[in-house]
Amino acid sequence: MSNDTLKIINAEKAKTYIAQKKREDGRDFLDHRPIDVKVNVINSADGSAWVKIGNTEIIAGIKFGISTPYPDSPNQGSMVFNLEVTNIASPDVETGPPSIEAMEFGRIADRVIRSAEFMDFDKLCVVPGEKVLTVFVDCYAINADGNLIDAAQFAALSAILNCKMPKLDENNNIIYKEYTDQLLPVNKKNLPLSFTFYKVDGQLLLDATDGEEYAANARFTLGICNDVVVAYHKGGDSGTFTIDEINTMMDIASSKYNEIKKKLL
Amino acid sequence: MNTTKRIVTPGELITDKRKKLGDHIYIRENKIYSGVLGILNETDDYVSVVALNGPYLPRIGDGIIGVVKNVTQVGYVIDIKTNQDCFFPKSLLTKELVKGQVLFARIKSADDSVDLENINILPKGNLLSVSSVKVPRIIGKNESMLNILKNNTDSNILVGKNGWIWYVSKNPALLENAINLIINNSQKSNLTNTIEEYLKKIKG
Amino acid sequence: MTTRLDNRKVDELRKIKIELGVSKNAEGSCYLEWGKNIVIATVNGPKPVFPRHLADPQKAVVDYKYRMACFSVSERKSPVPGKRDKEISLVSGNALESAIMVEQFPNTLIDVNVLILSADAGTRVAALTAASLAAADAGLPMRGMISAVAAGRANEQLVLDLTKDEEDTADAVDMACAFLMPQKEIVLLQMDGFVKKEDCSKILENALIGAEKIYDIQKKALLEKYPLEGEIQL
Repeated sequence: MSNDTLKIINAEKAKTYIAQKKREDGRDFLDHRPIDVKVNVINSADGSAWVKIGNTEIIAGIKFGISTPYPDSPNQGSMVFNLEVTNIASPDVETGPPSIEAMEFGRIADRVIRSAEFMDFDKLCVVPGEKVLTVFVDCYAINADGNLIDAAQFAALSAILNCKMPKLDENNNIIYKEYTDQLLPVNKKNLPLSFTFYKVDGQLLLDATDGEEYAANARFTLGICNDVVVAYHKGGDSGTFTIDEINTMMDIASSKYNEIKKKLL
Repeated sequence: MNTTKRIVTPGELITDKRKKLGDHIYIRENKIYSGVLGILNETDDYVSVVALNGPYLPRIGDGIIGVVKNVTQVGYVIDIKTNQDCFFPKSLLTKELVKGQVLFARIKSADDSVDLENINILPKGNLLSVSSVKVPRIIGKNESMLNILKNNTDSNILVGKNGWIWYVSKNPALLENAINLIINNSQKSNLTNTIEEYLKKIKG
Repeated sequence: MTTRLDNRKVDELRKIKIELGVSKNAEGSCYLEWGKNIVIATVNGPKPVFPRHLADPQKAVVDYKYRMACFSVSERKSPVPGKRDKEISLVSGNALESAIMVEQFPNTLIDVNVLILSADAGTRVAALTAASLAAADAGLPMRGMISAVAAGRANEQLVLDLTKDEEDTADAVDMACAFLMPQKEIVLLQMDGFVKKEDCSKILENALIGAEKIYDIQKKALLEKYPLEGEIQL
């Protein structure tokens, strides 16, 4: 049986429930599934996190690299973010470079973290103008049941918060597997969280399952950081949103911020 | 006389006696081995293994449930949970089907391609997917398990040999829970009674 | 006899932990920890083959994809598969194919994916051991299990299951070996080193002893997933 057929069936199911003002797993439209976070699970990574939201599972791993800085920011390090939805998570995924969907999801999660001025790139400078630290954040989806964007962002965030700085030798090269006592420098007051809404037959949903996503025709992701909005991204198909709906989603995401922050920390 | 029930792994030696061979068995150097992960079914003169998972292998006459995956100009591409989809021409049906439509049909032939006959459109209901190897357990001897499910969850249930289950139910969550229990415990004895007790306990 | 760097005996395997059925969408899957190695394997199929001309009218084609996560090794690895990944994929796929009764499914594809999340030597044998479990979990007809292990020499001793530190020693010999069990037939054999013929034979014998231990661990894991007694579990 192909995954396509499963998606058609699950989408039908989701629509039927939503028409009755319900969701298949009994949640409210704006509730998250149970969230489980385990950090430092991958011993080869410099920082790592394994996040489960319902049946969706994403592992984020961090590796440091030394690079030359960008010419327009000679004293700043950088972050490189990558999300792969592997064949392990979704058997119909073609082998080869990430799908355009995975690329989009990765870029949205990246935007939420980057825009929040959360990572202190100045403190990642090693030799001004010459050598800086690059933080590689690689996320792999292990199980896919919707809401990969938020799951990836939560996993990346958790990995970043628990990542130790590497030791450098006298030539400022990384000594692998040796760490200082310092954590990756972040601005803990600006903790960004991603909230992705899907719209199914006019109803807004948070933390959509695979079936609910397939039944939807529009998607909107917000990056929230306390009472500050750091990112907007409209995606999904060709469905639309009204300004009222955007404002509603901002209010909902802001009101959920503290609740979700507690679950991650 | 049945020997004690046990799970066998692929390649495991079963016996060096001569017996009639059933499914998932192979012979090497005059000894009988298991060809799959499954439950050993051995008597004095017969041996077979019931697989615990595995792909659906269509046989002529099988009653199956299919889902319309695609509608083309001349017909329908129907997913029947095998490694290739079925094509059914529009000319052979009086009604039009739509994408996502669920139907019941029989396997007419299963050589290079699989052909269907006796297509019956099913009314709107729910669809659950299980491994085809679990279907006999869900139906039970003389439909005993199926009747327990229908009566104790107030449901109308149709089970396709290919592992799709169509149902309309007053207690959908209870029915799906019960089916999951059957699937995850299919190797245990006395399952029919256990499931009946479980359902009666929840209802009562 | 000197103790090994991690205090194991010469014929002692690292700790192995197995969990089957971890992937919700895959037909068969296996999560495996082997020392500091962490791998996840999934098996799906038989499926149709695309492009069609790659199909084999006599049997199923096994497509084995060995991939390492960027963060699985010391220095971050590019996500694009390199020659090493492709070579391991090819020989491992051939090894696994000898276990699966591929003649039963002509013109189809058996899709095998293994992702290495954390690496500490012996990833290809851990991957193949996990992939074989995933194939059995998927209920594919198989004539046996593929039990894989690395054997070799480190610090002047012939040892089983080398760690990365042992592989990096001056006189290291590393032999990756996989057997079809219980037949004890070699389906994968790769070696790097500088070693006398007699020692080489000894290393191969040690590998078989190791493979038998792995085979026992695999059987135990498969049986544990299906307890015959006890409460019914969701």
